[in-house]
Amino acid sequence: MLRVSLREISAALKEGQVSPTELCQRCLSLIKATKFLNAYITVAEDTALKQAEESEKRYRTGQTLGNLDGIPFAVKDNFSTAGIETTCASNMLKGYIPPYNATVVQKLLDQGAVLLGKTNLDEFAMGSGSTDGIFGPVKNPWSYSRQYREKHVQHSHTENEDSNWLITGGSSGGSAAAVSSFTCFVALGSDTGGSTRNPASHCGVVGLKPTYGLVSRHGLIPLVNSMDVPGILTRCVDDAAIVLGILAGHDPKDSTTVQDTFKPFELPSFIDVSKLCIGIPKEYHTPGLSSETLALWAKAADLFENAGAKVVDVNLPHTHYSIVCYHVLCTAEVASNMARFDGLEYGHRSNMDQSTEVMYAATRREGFNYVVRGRILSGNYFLLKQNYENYFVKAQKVRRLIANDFVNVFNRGIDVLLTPTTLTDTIPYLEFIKEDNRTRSAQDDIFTQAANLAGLPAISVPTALSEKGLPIGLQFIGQAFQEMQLLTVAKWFEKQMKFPMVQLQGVMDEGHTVSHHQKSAFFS
Amino acid sequence: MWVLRLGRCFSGAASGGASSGSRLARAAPGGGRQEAAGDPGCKGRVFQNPTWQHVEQTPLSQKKVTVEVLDHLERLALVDFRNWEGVQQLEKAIQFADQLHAVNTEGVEPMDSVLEDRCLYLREDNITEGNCTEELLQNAKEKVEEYFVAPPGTTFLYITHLDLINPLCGLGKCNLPQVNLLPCILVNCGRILK
Repeated sequence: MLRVSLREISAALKEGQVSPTELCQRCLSLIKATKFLNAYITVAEDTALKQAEESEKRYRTGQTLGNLDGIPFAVKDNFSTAGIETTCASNMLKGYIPPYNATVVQKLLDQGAVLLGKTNLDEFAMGSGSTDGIFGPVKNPWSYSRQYREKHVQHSHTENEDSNWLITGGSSGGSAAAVSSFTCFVALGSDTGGSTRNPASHCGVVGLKPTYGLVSRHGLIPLVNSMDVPGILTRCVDDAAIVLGILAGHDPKDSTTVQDTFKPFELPSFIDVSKLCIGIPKEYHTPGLSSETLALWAKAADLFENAGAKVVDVNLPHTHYSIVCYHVLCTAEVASNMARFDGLEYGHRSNMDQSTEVMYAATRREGFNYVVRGRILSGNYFLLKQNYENYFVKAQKVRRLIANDFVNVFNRGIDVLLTPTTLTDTIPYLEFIKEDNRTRSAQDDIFTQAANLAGLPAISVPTALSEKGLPIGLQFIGQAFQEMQLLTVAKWFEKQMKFPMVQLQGVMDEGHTVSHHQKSAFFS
Repeated sequence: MWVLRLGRCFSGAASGGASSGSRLARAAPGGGRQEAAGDPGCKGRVFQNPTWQHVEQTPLSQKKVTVEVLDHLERLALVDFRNWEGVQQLEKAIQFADQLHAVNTEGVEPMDSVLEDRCLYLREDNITEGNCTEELLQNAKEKVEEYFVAPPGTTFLYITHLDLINPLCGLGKCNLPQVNLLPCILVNCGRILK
């Protein structure tokens, strides 16, 4: 029952096939059984059960709050949650209990949804693997899938199985793993450079990054204010549309949300793509793109063409520079954003108290990992008076060129762009950590970053399994505030591809093939 | 290194992976595609060879960060980083960013926000929330009554941190005056009180 979509579970709740409490308990026990995935940092068992109980009362009296009433969800641990620890996977915020809810969390709670817990991430969402947080890396549920193991075991039976697990991608890896392992029906991520779409692609789920300004950032602990967007991770495109309908819209507490009224939409069941124009950006064929991903991308383009859509090559000539541009803008904004963490009002505080500055510096050394410290420093360097024009302003100019590339393409009559989400399918953790965080982010965000610089909506849709039996996603990038068109195209594509569901049941019982942690409890 | 050389369809530069990609892509359904004329690297709608390449950057362009700048940065950033790895990481970050200079941005206006074309909303300057002193203070490690407490005085950090610092900063560097400001600082909601 936990494997169905949000829409289906909502119908089951309405028809009384399952009660909110029972559903919540099932999810909680699956979270326990899959603890070794390290998807959750905090499981809010007590409050979740309380919320489920209240939802149950509402169902009994016929006064439900909305379509999401009683539906369990998870939230990345960089969204503030009242009364529930919010850590950003950093020592800096260990033990921090926010006094308020992020707007997006509050909107889901107002619908009666049940908050299960907070999911794992890279420290302060800086990373592309979900490997660099203080609570340890997140393991990709596909590492334990029948699809992967059947193909993998024959190649590597001599290796230690325990060390062969795969990364989820990141930085919203915990949220992607949570949705992918069926412990919740929707999870919130954040997306600054691809942090929702990248793990979605690696974990075989749908990852939506809405247009900048459509969904409130209030309560999302900022990374890069001018690019951060709350992301939505679900099992299918329809579910993402439902959740977007709830989250989108102006928030008085976030001045960067636009004031246009947002009309929630339902995606049509019958979709005609023959009048569409799909753009294939040449520059997205980069060095390092795997042959399988390339083949899928080409196949997807054919699919649209065969269905009558116009498929054309387009140029986004400044895309190459999006990662470098992001590198400068991100570190600069991080340098400024992270200034708030000084140990005085909240978060970690060092015991070194010879002076205020000594305390500040020691607190920040102890509280931040090397990635965060590194970005703060380079950001301060780019912002130095003598470097400001040369780096920061230069990057802002390049940003305009990148954004203009998209404007030009869409002005030419292109409706939606079709690109890969990531270079390859996911890789083993031991492989991933051979390169440092910055190098990895530069490689992994290459297809996703430009959409953030330009503020455009983009979605990663699970497309097919690789030869290794691992998910590959493709990305659609739409025009600003044209989520309905974007999701409609994505839904049509999803329907054609029929991406297989991850097969976890039973696999975990075979003792010798699985890690020793709680294997028997998983999906029994 | 991720330095970029622009170019279209390096047909001679196909790696093993890319050629097998062409094979796979050709095997994919969808006959009747048009091949881009005169461009052997393009089959169907998706380019079969990378349209650009990474190029190793010459070591000549690597910038060294001076000790003075490191001092300054450390005080601005309020994190100590001056071990060898920290400096290396910074220099690599700068080198990486230097690729921006390959872009011609003549006459281009810097872009602060993608919402620059519209008026952003500002709330009325009225108090809408409050009475949450206790809640807010709960997350502070040290407090007195309604105040956050900071350690007494302000001294520059490197004086107490010499033992942590690396070969780059010798003792002779640390001759800036030590400043003692206030005997004790209480911070109340952003205001500093004596």
